[in-house]
Formats: sequence, C-alpha cells, structure tokens
Amino acid sequence: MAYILIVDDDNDYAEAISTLLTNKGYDVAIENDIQSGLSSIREQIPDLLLLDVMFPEDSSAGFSMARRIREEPGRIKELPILMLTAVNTMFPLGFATDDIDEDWLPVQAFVEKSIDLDVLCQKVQDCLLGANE
Amino acid sequence: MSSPDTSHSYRLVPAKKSTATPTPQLDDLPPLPRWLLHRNSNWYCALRWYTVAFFATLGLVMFNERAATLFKHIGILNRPWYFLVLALVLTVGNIAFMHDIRRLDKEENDTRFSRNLFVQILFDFVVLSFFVHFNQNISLHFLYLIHIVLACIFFSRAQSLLVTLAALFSYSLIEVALVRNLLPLEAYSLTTQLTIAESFVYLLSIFFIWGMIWALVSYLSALLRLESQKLTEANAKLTESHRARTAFLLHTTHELKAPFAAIGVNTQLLLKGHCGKLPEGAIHTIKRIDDRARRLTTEIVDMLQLANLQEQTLQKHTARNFDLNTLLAGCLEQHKALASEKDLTLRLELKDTPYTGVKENLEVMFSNIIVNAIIYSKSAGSVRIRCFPTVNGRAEVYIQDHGIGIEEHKIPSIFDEYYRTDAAAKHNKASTGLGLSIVRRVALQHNITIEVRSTFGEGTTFIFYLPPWSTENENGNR
Repeated sequence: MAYILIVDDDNDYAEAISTLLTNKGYDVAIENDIQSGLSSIREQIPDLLLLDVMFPEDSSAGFSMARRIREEPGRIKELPILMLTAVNTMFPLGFATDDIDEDWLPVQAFVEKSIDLDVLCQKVQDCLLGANE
Repeated sequence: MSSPDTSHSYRLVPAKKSTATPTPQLDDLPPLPRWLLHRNSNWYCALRWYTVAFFATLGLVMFNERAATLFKHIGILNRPWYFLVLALVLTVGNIAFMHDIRRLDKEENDTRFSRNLFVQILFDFVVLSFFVHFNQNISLHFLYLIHIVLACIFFSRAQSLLVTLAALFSYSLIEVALVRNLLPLEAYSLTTQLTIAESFVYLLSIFFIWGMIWALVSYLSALLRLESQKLTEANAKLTESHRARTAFLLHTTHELKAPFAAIGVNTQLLLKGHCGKLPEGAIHTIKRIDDRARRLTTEIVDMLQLANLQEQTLQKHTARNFDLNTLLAGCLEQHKALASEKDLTLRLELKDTPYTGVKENLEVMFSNIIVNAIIYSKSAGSVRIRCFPTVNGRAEVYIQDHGIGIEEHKIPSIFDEYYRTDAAAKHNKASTGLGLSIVRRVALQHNITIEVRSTFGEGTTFIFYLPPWSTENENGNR
C-alpha cells in the first residue's frame, strides 16, 4: 500500500487528513516542520508528499522545500508533491493553479485546504497514478 | 558553587521618539542620479551635433557673396573658414566626449559623469568665446547664458556658480587678449571701441545680469530637485509600506483561515462517516458547525479582498494582456459543480476578446457575478454569458440569470457593503453581502460601467461595459 508523508505545522489538520487517508488504506506519517520532513524523506522515500505552504518561521517554506527536493539526488527528486494551502491562491497569493510550472513551483497539484475530502482523495489518487506512469 | 550563567540575553529597548525629519537644505541636496547624469551627457553631445551642423552650414553658405552680405548686415563677419574650423573643433571635441561617456558606462563612478559634463561646458565656453568675439552682434554674448542655465540644471548651486565664474573668466580673457593685441585686430570686441572706464562698466553690467540669472535659475533648479527628492523618499516609504501590508495580509489571511480549514476537514470526516456512524442529531449539529465555519471563511476572505482592493487604488496596478473569453471560461469552470447541483444550463456565447487589465481582480469580479447568477437561479433554470469585443479596445460582457430578480427600488443599493435584499437573504443564508461591493471596487479600478436590468421574480442581467485600459488606471488615480 502506498506510503504518504504529510508535512504540515497544523497538527489538527494533518491528523484529520491522516485519518481520511488511513481509512482509504494508505500508510500515513506526519511531520510538523520542514527539517523533520526532509530527514523523514531521506530515511524512507514516500510515494507522495502532502506539503503545506506556510510555516511559522518562513511564510514560503513549503515552496522552498519543494524546490530543494527537486535538487536532491536519486529517487527523492522524482517524489510527487501535492501542496496544500489555507491561503487562497488568487488572493492574496496572487497566482492561479495554471500559473504553476516546473521551474517556478515543481509540484504535481496545488489545492486549498478547504477542498472537499472526496476531491482531495481523487487528487491523491491522481498524483500516485501519475507517479507510477 | 553555582554554575556559570551561559544563557543568552536580548533586550528590547523602546526606540527614541524621533524629532521631526530635518528638512534637507537647498545646498545639501544629493547629486543627480547616475542614469540622469548619463542621459544629460548624451543629450548635451546630441545638442552639440546641431551646433556643428549650424556652423558648417553657415560656413558653406558664406562662400556665396549675397549670403555673406546678408550676414554682415546682422553683424556676422564674412569668415567662412572660421565657422568651418569651429565646426571641425566641435566635432573632434564631441567625438572625444562621446568616447569618454561610453567608457564611463562600464564604470560605477558617478563623479566621472559630472566631470565629463563640466569639461563639455568649459570646452563650449572656449569655442563660444571665439564665436562671440569674431562677430559684431553684441547680443551673441548672451549665448553664455544657455550654458549657465544648463549648469544650474546639471550641477549643484556651488558647481553651477563655478561654471558662471568660468564663463565670466573666459569672456574676460578674450577681451583682455584683444585689448593687449594678443589676438588679431580684425576680431571684434566692443571693449576695444570704448574707454577703459566704459569697458569696465559694460563688463560689470554683463556680469551682474549673468549673476542674477545664475542666482534665480540655480535656486529654482534646487527647489525642483528638493521636491523630486521628497517624492522619491515618499515613494520609497510607500513601496515599503505596501510590502509590509502585503506580508501582513498574507499572515492575517492564513491565521484566520487555517483554523477554519482544520474545523472544516474534521467536520467533513465526521459527516462522511470516517469516524464511525453517528446519530442523526449529531450529524445535524455537525452540519451546522460545518456550515458556519464555511460562511465565516467566505466572509473573512471577502473582507480581506475588499480591504485589499481599497488599498490597491493607491498603488500602481499590474495590468496584463489576456483574453476575456478564457478568463470567463476559467471562472465558469470553478463553479460548474455548483451549477450541476442545481441542474442549471449554462449558455455560453464567448468570442475571442483581447483585453488589458488586472487579471486577478477581473477574475474575482466576474466570478462573484457568475456565482450569484447560479445561486439565485431557480433549479433547472439557465444562466447565459456573452462576451465580445466592440471598438477601440472596448468589450462587453453580459451575465444573465432567470432567478429571483431584484425589486427596482432596491437595485441602486445592491453594491453597498453588507447589503442584501430580504429575498436574497432568504434564498442564500450563506451570503456575506460583500460580493457586489468587491465587484464595484474592481469596476472602479478599471473604469467599467455596470448596467443592471432586473425584474423581480424573473431574473437579472448584469452588463459590463469595459473600456480600454488607460494610464490613469496605471497610476492608481481611481
């Protein structure tokens, strides 16, 4: 069964998503900060990373982590990433999801946290399928 | 024995209240920025080419006897070779200055650009002195004033005073050289026609006029630069304030929305049975929690959006070129699911419509109207959207529903903040009353006219008349 890592400082949200994905049959782990997330990835590469954007020390730490992963050696750089944000992409982040490209934001999908859970599960499935292809 | 204290300490010291910002003095102004000095140097060289063309043409024309006689009548002696030589000297000088400017381009030293300009002016004084003294028309003496005025614009007051004194010196030098027969007699000089006392009075009056002009122009120029400096400082503060506001907005949005996202995802978990089967009563209560959390989230986003748009009118906007057709299609895609839930038919007549505007804000505006059209439509109804270009960069967008409509006397109020008609409030309890205020704010930003046609109980049409994007919008004058 696929192993999914959630990196998010909001533990309430992370635990809820973990419950959802565990019920769907996935193996899920949670890390609450960027450094722990990177260490965890290096120890065991997940099949999918669910990554938050804003962290307490840096409001764009999630973006930096995604770019850093793409510079890692071996299989790590191929890790599919689904980014989550509590902040609306259009306001005030100021970009649409179709503005995302490989150079600027190397992620497979970018969704708001208020997304419907069924839609989120579908996005997770799509990211995992895309990775297998 | 107690262990040594290895803790780190940090002290937060209240900042001293600063006294009022000292007003910069006129003589204390920073030099012109590098790009402006560079531009001035190049412009001065370009001006000199016109002077070269003038002298060369004058010299060539003077070979014609009739033309030479005409020039003699206005006090310009028939010396074609003098003018050709002056043109040649100016050409050589100009080439040297332009070569120097190209070299200075690669260096970071701003003072060398000032020096280049200074040398150009002094060089011109020498050439001008010869030109003025080899002609009988004494009004040509005032050509020096052009350089004095330029120096007042290019340099500080002290430096422009030096240039004025240099003008006085070069003019006086030629006069003395003529009086002492160091220059050929056929060269004209007014002072050689006067007594020493008369010459002294004459020169003094010229110097007085030049001095007055220096004082006036240098003062006005310094005032202008002072205002320019104040504007630059104000702009820098505004930019910093905008940056700080954007960062604050981002954090505020996150801190307000994140808890509701966590509440929402947990209520969804409960409602979708991921935590086991719940009694009906519990489901009903959790639905109310979920509903309220969603409404609060929407209200927070709307309030922040409105505040952001109100602030944006003071800032420069980032307008882009895009197709309105694609923008509207994108807005529709976001609300397709909602339309399907109500079994609505979407009738689209979207033509390619190139437009320039603040794309993100227009998306919010049309999205709000489209979602209203869907929400206030009756089930199994239809929503029609038309978009087409008209003339001269203008466009029109129609968004029509067959929903609950608006009573005629209430239409003017629908764009007011927090206003909702009773019918709208009953139909959609989740409405914040801010959606159309946001629409109005974006329309104001783009100078868009909105026409509202509605019949209560039958439906509403919003018509947007979009003018071409103008520079007034870019400067945030709306």
